[in-house]
Amino acid sequence: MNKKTQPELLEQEPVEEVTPVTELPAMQEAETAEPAEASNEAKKQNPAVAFFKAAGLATAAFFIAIWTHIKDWFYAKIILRFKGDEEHRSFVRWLKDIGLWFKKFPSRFVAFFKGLPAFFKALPSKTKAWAKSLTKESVKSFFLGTGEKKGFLQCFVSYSLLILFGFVYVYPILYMLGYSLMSPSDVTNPMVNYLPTSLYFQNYSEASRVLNFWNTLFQTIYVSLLPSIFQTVSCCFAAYGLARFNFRGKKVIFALIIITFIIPTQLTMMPQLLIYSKLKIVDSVFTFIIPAALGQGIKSAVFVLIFYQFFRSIPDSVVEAAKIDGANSFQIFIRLGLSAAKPAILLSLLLSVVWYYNETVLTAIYLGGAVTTLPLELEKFEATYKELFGDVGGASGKTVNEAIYMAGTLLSILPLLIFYFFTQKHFTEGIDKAGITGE
Amino acid sequence: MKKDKKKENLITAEASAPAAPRDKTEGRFYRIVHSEAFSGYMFLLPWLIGFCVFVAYPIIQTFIFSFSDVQIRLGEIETSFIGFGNYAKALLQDAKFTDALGEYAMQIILYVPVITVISLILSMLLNSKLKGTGFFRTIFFFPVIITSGPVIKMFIDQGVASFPGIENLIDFEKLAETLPQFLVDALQFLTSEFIMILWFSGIQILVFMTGLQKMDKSMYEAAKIDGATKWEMFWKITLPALNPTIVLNVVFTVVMQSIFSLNPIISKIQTDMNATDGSGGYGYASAMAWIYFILMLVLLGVAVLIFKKHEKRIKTDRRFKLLKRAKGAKA
Repeated sequence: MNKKTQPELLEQEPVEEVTPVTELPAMQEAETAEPAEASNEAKKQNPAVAFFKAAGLATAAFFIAIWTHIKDWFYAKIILRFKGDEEHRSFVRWLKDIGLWFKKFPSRFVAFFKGLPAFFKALPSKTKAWAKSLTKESVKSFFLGTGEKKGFLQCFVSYSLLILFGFVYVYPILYMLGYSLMSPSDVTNPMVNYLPTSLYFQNYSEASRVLNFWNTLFQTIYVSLLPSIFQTVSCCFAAYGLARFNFRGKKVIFALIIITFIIPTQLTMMPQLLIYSKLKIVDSVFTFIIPAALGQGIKSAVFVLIFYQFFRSIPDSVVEAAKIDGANSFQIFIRLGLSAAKPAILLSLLLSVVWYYNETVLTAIYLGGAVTTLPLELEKFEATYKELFGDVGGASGKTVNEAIYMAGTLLSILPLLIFYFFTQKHFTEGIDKAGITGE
Repeated sequence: MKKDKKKENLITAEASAPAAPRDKTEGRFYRIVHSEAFSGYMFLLPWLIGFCVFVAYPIIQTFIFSFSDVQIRLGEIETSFIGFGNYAKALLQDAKFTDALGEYAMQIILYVPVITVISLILSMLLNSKLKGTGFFRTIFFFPVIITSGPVIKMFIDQGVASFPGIENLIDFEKLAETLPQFLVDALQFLTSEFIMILWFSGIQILVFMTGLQKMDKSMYEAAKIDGATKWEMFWKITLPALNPTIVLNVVFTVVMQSIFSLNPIISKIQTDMNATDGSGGYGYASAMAWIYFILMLVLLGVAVLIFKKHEKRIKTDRRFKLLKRAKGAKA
């Protein structure tokens, strides 16, 4: 098993390296796409391109470094889920099982009808036997449950509540999905409510043109992934310092961390912007990366607290043993700390990617127009739409209809939904393990 | 206690010292560098630098800005002290800002209890040993992934933030005749954005679930022996034991709502920050940010106080009585 999979691992690495590089042409396209702008603008944005290139290289290096550390674990946790082994039921085997079921279906079908008369013959006697076996207690325990076992009524109530709430949660997305596939005539037709009369994919192609989808997507990934990597690393360091060492002023630092959590960004936004403009990094990803690398990214305090919990759970005896073996504290951090905090690392990476992706206020202010993200593009959807399809020729002009707007929204959250589909287990279980309760 | 720990550390350091060559361990510098505190501070150094540069300094700066008229000319900042002018203007003259403050306060007051209660109910449902709870947990958490300002705004604009028929179910005009206006407004607000409120409770549900899993199960068994019903157990054991989690969730909800970009004050501050026609500017925006922060702290304090008080009252009589009785029963 392992021998087979090893070469595939090696193949995976270059793919990770390539991703930042593929982003670069996309960035440059975005800048060259507006030649009508003054040449001053182009000059001003050149350093930004250089920044992107340098940052891209840095990411590649970073990926390789991180990848070498987590690849075994990544392989065990994620790839095995799809390939399958003795423990994990593989996707392929699952498909095979379905195939087998269909293969056997005709013979089973015949057998079912052959067995029917015998079944009906035996039915009266069976029901009688069953009715005899019923007692007051057995009925009661079936409905109300006994001891640890849940009764039918409890299960019914719990499941119906869960399904009801589950539906309420998903309802907007389902509604949007249905609505976004409606043709303009469906939208105006009051008889068509939830389901479109026919699938109309034009909305999606128009919306993706308005959002400039692929280009914006790459920029969004760029803006959300880079800072979150830096944020994870810096929060890891800070939390390890807090969790494993005794020193004066620890409580003060805890208080400061909680203060950073509570303070609204509006309070620090303007001086920060002035700092960035003095450093001449406004309109570049560095406005996100530098605070993140110093532990002051979006909601960094949450991540510090999550990591703190994980580092606290390392037994003291293990650390002492490592110390006696001559490891210094940094080595202990790398070897013991990081391996203990692997779920936390993944959780904080995922959560911060999501939070950076969804941030709009800071992105609009710090990144200006140089880099846009999908939510930002969605914010000015209507204006862009009018620019693209607006009434240039008078009567031929279109107006934004709701269906296109919905399609745009769905497109802008689609990457996140796909991302969540693959990683949802780590989100929920990570928070479970982190146990941020009460401390 | 602390001093004792330090002594212990010194002792262990001395004990391990002979292993290393002597001439290295004697210097004062070596001792400082190899002390526990030094390594701790080294790990925290990036964070501390970040805090000073990106939090402490900006806060002081906005505090100064808020008391002065700030002009930015060619990248140079000119500040002139004008006392409480900005604050007076924000609170007394700017109707838009005071409206936004009111709206924000109302939002928090409505959101916090609803989110707390609903996430508690859902977490208890998920925590019961049923099949398929993992699937529902996935569903309840997914809004956390996609909630961003524009997306939520779109939902509200398109009327998907609530069920379509819900406004027709309740006759608000009739209610307004009997109930005070602000209650009707609150109800209307709740019904119009009900799903969105649910959407904000993803993380809270998970936090409650971890709280529930950590709970001491022997307490329930003891209560069962005493003949307590599930309803009583919920009020007398689960709720008091969950109290720290509840407070945590309340704080989390308030903070998350306050930084969410749909918040009316945030957009107000943002537009005024860049206003160049003399109406806004950094000074005015800073003053607004400070007022906003103080209001948020007040709301946070009130919320925490309400939920904490509850804990004390129950803890002192009910829970300990139960515990004592449980101990007696076991003996």
